[in-house]
Amino acid sequence: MRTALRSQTTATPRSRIVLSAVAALIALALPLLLQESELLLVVEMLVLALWAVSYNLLLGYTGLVSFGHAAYYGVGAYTVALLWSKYGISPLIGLVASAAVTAIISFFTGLFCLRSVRLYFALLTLAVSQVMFTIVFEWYDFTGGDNGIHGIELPGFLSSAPNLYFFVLVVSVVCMLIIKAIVNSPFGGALLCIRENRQRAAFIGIDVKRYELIAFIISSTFSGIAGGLYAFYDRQVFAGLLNWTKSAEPVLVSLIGGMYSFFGPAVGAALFIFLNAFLTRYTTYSALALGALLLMLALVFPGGLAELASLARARLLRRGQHELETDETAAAQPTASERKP
Amino acid sequence: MSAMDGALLQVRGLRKWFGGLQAVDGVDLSVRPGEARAIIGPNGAGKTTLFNLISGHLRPNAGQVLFQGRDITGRPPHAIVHAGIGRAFQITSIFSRLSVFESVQMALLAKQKRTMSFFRPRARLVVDQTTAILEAVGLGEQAKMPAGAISHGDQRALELAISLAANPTLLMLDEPTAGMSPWETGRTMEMIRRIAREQGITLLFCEHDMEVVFGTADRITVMHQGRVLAEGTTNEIRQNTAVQEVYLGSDEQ
Repeated sequence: MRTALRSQTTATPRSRIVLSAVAALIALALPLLLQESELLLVVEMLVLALWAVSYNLLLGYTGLVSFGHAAYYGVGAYTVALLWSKYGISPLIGLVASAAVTAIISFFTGLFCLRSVRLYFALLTLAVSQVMFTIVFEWYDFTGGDNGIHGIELPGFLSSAPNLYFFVLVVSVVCMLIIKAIVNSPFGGALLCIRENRQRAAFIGIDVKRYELIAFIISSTFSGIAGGLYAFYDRQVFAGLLNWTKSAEPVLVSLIGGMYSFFGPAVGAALFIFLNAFLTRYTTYSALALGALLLMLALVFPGGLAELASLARARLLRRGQHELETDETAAAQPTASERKP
Repeated sequence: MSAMDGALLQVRGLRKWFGGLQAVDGVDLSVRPGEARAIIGPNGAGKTTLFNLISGHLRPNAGQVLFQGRDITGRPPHAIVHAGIGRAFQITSIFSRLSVFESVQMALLAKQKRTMSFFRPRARLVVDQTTAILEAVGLGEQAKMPAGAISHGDQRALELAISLAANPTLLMLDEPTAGMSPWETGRTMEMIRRIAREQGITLLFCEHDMEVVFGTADRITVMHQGRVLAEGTTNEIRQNTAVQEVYLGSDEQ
């Protein structure tokens, strides 16, 4: 698990630039390479990736386990849908509003849930999210209850799949980069201190509860934006978006991808969506297969796919080291053998 | 008791009970600036509880804690750190998955109230200050190591470095040499004395090792069953018969 943290700080800038350039090229070329249905699958991946990365600001970077993050995702989606259906407001404005609405709601729910710690905090987040789910589910006059809201009309330029893809790509990538900047800031460092040792964090002068609340609001706000993007993708919303079964998704994909790696949850999200679509084509037991995969990862690589990747990289580097004994940059890289068994 | 005459830390009638147990039972304490004060006493005398009360980890049931004349009784730990009281722990309390460098860097940023910054990369902030502290405690070489992976002795030094980063006026050390070999003990106390002298830090520490106590402290406060049994210079304490009875006699012979 240590290697995951170290690999972030020791990646060479050059390899990072090359990696970003390749990723950007692939992202640009995707609409040419994929069919429309496949492209929409990628849109779904991007939405879940943003949600998971937002969620992981709490799980992986602050050490707070929330079991109710679907509430903010769902509120984001409903904000876009309701503003459109009730007031005829453009979903573009709705997306901005979804950030504002989730920020305000999460301020109050966070204040309430953070009265407790650890498991009790997790249970409070679950309870609060189920209250919000029930409100959306039962309030027919306003939310449409279990009918949901259908047929959201997007602005004309988003009617084609490639344009929708580029829009979601830009919004989600910009949001993820903002979260990445936060993670690397002094504030992000304070969150790491809290994750590692709450008591000590207080004794270096960090007001732990206040920082946890701000992290909770940031995480929920970006989850709300992810939910808003979902409304763009599906053009409909339903109460299940707020339900606890939905809350499991960001937890699951963060664990699959690796919660101590920044983009691990995003990779986990892509794999999750892919397997879901792929497996349901061949079997009705896709959930079973996903569960087995998660179990295997949890047992063999508790650091998720990120750990697997850093192990592979360390092995490659070690091989390179044998060939080039004098190469100093390779020698400076951490090796996976430092990892505790 | 009325004396506010230049005391840095003034504790008045401090009490803490856990259920029926009087852990700290009306303690008065006055520490002057620049002093090195040891608190000694048998196990269960209430030393650690007293530390927890002063540093804000526990709230007292009664009594007052004044620091530089300001009432800090029952304030939360982070507020007390900002007031100028640093604390190192008996059981090493560090950030295992942060590097040694990051641990001290974050302590510096927190004390300087620079952690509410959201978009500036932290990697290049307070690098010189961090390096200086790490070198002062002899951890310059281990800067890039994960804090959880260095030796026990080095972790104790890191514990001290994190506390020093808060630039404290008063540094509270809870058994700074616990679990150390005699050689490490000597080296650590030497270092603490030197840093305290150089930076004008007042020391308040509890310790079981009598050699450390009599070698470092200017004055000693002896606690017994939650109360102050005696207070004085090292010589006075050495000759105090009551102290010898409850404590030194049984422990040292």
